[in-house]
Amino acid sequence: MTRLTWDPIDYTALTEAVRSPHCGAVTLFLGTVRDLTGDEVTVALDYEAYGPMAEKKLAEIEAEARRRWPIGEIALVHRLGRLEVSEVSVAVAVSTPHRADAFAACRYAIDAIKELVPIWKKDLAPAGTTQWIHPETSS
Amino acid sequence: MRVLLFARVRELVGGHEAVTLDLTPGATVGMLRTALIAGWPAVAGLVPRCRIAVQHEFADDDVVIDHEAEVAVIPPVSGG
Repeated sequence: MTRLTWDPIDYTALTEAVRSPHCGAVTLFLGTVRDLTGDEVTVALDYEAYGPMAEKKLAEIEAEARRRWPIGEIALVHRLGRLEVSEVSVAVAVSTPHRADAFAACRYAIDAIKELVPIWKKDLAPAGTTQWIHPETSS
Repeated sequence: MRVLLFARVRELVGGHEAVTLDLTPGATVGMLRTALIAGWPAVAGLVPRCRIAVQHEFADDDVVIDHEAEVAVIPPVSGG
C-alpha cells in the first residue's frame, strides 16, 4: 500500500495494517520534522509533491521491495503540506517472516523514497524566511 | 511544449507552475534544458542538477520528447 496524504499519519494504524499471522517481524520507520540542521533552526517544513509521478514511484518502490524480500505487507506513506517540529512526514511499515528481511526491506524503502520520489520540502526559519531544500547529493 | 515546474525552480521563474517552450519536433531532453536556461537565465545554476521527467519517468538527455508527453523539471528531491 502506498499513499500521499495531507492528513497526519496514523502510524499505529499503519503498523497494525501490515501485521500478519505469517510474519514474525514488523519494522516501522518514521521520518519526523527536526528542529535543528547544524545551527539553523527549523520552525516548520512545507512539503510538496509532483503527485502523479510520486504515486507511481512509490508503487515501483513497493514492487521492487516485494521482489527482493518475502514481504507479507508493506505500507509507504508520505505526508504533504505544512508540518510542525516533531510531526511525522513519512512512514514505512513492513512485515516479513523473519526480522533480518523486515529491517532490510524497510531500509531499502526509505532510502529509495529519498532518492526517487519527487517530493520537496521548504524550510521555514524563525525570522519567517523560507528556503527550498535541494540536496547536493541524494541522501 | 508545456513543462511543469516545482519547488525552487518554480520560485526562480516567478512562481509559474508551468512554462511553455518552443521546441522543434524531435527535440531531446538536453535541448529542453538548453531552452529552459535560455528563456529563464535565473534557473541556469539549478537546472543542470535537475532531472527531467517525461511521462512520470526520469529521462536521459538523449531521449527524444514526444510532443504529447507530460514533461516536468525535477530538482534534487528532499522528501522524507
